[in-house]
Amino acid sequence: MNDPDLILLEGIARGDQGAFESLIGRYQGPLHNFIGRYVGDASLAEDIAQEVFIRVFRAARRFEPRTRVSTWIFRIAYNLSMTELDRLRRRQKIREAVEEHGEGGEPACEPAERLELEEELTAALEQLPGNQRAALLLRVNEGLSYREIGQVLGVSLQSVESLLHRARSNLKRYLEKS
Amino acid sequence: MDCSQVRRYVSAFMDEELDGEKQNRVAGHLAGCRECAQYFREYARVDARLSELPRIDAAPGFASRVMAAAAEHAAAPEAASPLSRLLRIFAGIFEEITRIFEPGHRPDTRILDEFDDCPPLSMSFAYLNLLQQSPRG
Repeated sequence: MNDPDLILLEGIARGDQGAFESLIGRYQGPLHNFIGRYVGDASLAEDIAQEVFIRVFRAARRFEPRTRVSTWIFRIAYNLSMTELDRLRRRQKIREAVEEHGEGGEPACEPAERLELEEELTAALEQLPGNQRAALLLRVNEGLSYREIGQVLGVSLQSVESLLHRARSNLKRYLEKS
Repeated sequence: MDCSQVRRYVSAFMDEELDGEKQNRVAGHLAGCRECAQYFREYARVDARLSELPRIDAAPGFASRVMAAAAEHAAAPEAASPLSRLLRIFAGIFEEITRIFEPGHRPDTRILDEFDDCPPLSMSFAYLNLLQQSPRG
């Protein structure tokens, strides 16, 4: 397999700090963007991205090159982001339940400097089901192929095609409404 | 290929993920059908808007923070998984059992010696008798 990242990963497995730094350099941007847009929170993206790299560092020795390294890294990012979103939703439900009983809580406020256009699109993205949002972000923003997206999400090629079709159709509808 | 089929394939067509023949047929249909061409443009606009979103990038010093965290992880012993803990327990039990049957093995009776006697028909009495040991040492 002609995967340049595999050379870096082999270096990491041997304890080469330079190889690890290079891999971080190659993926910190794409990971922050994907995770940040997926979870809708840039600061949370930093924590998740750090955890992704720690897991890559720890598992480098055990990596089996059946998939591309990039696909594997995005898969870790996707799984961690899903877990984090679930945790946040559970916490949000608890907070809402507490607020219903009149025990306070500050109202959420959006940063004023956010552009209206970006706000609309971010809100529309957040309305998409998680797997549709992930497929669309991986395709449009990160340029992954259908096969790679299938490996990241753990679904077939047909499912990727269907997810992207529905994601675009839903996003179009949400944007028309807003 | 009719309009409903083309609209089903339009997303994959945009991504150039259809096989060559299907890609050509969709392109041919879009060239001659204004409604489907409009449908395609609306999809393309969604992608364009998504691409215009500013990219979220790593904060300065991110790589150094990750390197430091990884170094900490490398220094700390990795936490044992539940399975490996269970295997370790079974290995310990197995080792103890095999040790009893090793030639020349003499059971440690110090704990029993603290008592005045081993009651007849007790497990410890039977155990020591089997090993031809006196309960009183």
